Amino acid sequence: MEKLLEIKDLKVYFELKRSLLGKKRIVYAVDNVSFDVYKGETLGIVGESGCGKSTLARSLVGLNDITDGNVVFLGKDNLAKADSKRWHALRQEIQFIFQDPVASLNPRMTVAEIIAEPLNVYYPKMKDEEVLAKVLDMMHLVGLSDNQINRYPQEFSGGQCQRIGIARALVLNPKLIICDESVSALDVSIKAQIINLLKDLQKKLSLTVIFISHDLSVVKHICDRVLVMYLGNIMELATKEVIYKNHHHPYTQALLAAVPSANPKVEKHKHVKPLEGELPSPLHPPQGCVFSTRCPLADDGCKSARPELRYMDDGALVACFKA
Amino acid sequence: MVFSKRIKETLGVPKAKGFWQNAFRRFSHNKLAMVSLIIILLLALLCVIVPMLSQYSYSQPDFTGSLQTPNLKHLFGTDGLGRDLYVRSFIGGRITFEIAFAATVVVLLIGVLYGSIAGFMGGKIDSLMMRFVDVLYGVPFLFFSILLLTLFGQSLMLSFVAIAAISWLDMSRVVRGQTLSLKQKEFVEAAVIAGVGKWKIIIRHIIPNLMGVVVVYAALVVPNMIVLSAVLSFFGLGVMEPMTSWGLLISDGSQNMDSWWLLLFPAMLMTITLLAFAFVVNGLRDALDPR
Repeated sequence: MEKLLEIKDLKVYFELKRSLLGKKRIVYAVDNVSFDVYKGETLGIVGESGCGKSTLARSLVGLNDITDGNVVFLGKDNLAKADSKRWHALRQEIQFIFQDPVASLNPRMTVAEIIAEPLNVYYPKMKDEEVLAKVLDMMHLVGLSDNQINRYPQEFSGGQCQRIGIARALVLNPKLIICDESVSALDVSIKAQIINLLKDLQKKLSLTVIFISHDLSVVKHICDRVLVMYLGNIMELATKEVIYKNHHHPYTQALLAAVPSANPKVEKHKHVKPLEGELPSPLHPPQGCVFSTRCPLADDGCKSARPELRYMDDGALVACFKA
Repeated sequence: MVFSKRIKETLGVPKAKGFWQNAFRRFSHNKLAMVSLIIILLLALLCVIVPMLSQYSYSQPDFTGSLQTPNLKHLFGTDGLGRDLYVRSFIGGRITFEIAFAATVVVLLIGVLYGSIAGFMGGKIDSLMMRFVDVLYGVPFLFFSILLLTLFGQSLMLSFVAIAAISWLDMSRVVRGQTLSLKQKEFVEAAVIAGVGKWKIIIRHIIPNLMGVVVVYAALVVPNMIVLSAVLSFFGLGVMEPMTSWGLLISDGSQNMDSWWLLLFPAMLMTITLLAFAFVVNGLRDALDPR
């Protein structure tokens, strides 16, 4: 399959403000992450809060600076080295859907103005009629009706606001859409609608989607491959089937065990051993395997050396000595 | 916007009620604020027409009729030079209003632009710009005004410049603070991702969302300017005889307490104006920041 995005040794560090005599303190938000995104697939990124999945997503659209590494788009553009001019061009190809649908829309702009804004930037000479036609197309595509075109975001529900956000993201015909927790602020029935909408759109427009979520059931529904992150590192990257049935990494195991089952009988007899302890601070990540402080299988070897990602027989990539 | 007109033509969907229309509706339901606003407008109107229509001139002395108590011919009485206080009060009001509004406009323009640029750019530019504001804060206002007026001679223009020069500082701080919090909002990030340039983001996304706070603050600035211009006049800076302002009239009146009307009427007009502005500010705050 053709690679849309090749990410190699991506590092995103944040330097904390130094106190007067203090040492330089660095947050290792994303540390040495490498993976590929194939054309037309939906890649899920899961992990608990603070594991760096949002930072990773934001650095792919230039909202965070990339500290080091390479992010190659379509085999030619390196996002990590792009200047602002290059970024401007690349933004047409990579779009973003936000977590909070209401906050992502300017309350002083109408739906038409919001959806038309990217067009105004990239096609300043486009005629009003054309812009309007394009905006209407987009609105129909995401399931909004004509008579809502002149309303303000406050007049819409969260689900409809997210439809507006999706329309804005799609208006430039991007190749890659990054959804950062895009459905987690919505209630369950709306969530299902928006997920199905995203799924339909992906098929219709042959989009590539990076779908970030902490909701494993949503990821299972929509994604082809799943990437499990922990403390800025990749733990496991495999197809959906492998992740949900034959996962290799103890962290994936722990994540899946924590998902409640809809079957009360199963739920009753389930013995969930929750992970002990807290996520270590990304200021001081553990010496060896980042998961070693909480891993039930960890031994001294895990605590002293960091495991590299390696291929399993079924094609999964796993960073664990024990797998 | 042309675009929304086009939408109305093709689809027949009228532009929805915007923020300002809703705010105005809320404001008009606030009786006290509406009455205050009408009083201010009425006073402003009187300041324009009274000096134009009156038979008396504000500057022509009439030594035969000095220091008359208020009577039917001279509603507010006359001053030591026999000039009609009614006309003088309103011509003074005219000057006061003019200075206050002009200064407010300047304060708005400089303060909003400066503050939003500093806030949005952040980092070194922000620090540099705000330190400059801090330095200007250190300059004593009265000293600065006296310096200006002694260097360049007395003129209305200069007293106005002096007032505006110190008053935009507060505005720029308020606006910067608001911008800092707006900058974090997702819709601004969304605009960045949509490729919108820095200037466009400030103008289309930051400033319109600042306007609520700015309008309230501007309405607070106007009475401040009135007081400041009165302070300058009180010290004999700025407005020059025979032209007058409320501050000058109050200053004269306070030196001549036997003729109580000389102090009472200008002070009353100014107090009413300031009070009315206070209520309007309250109304604006409620109307623009609904909870």
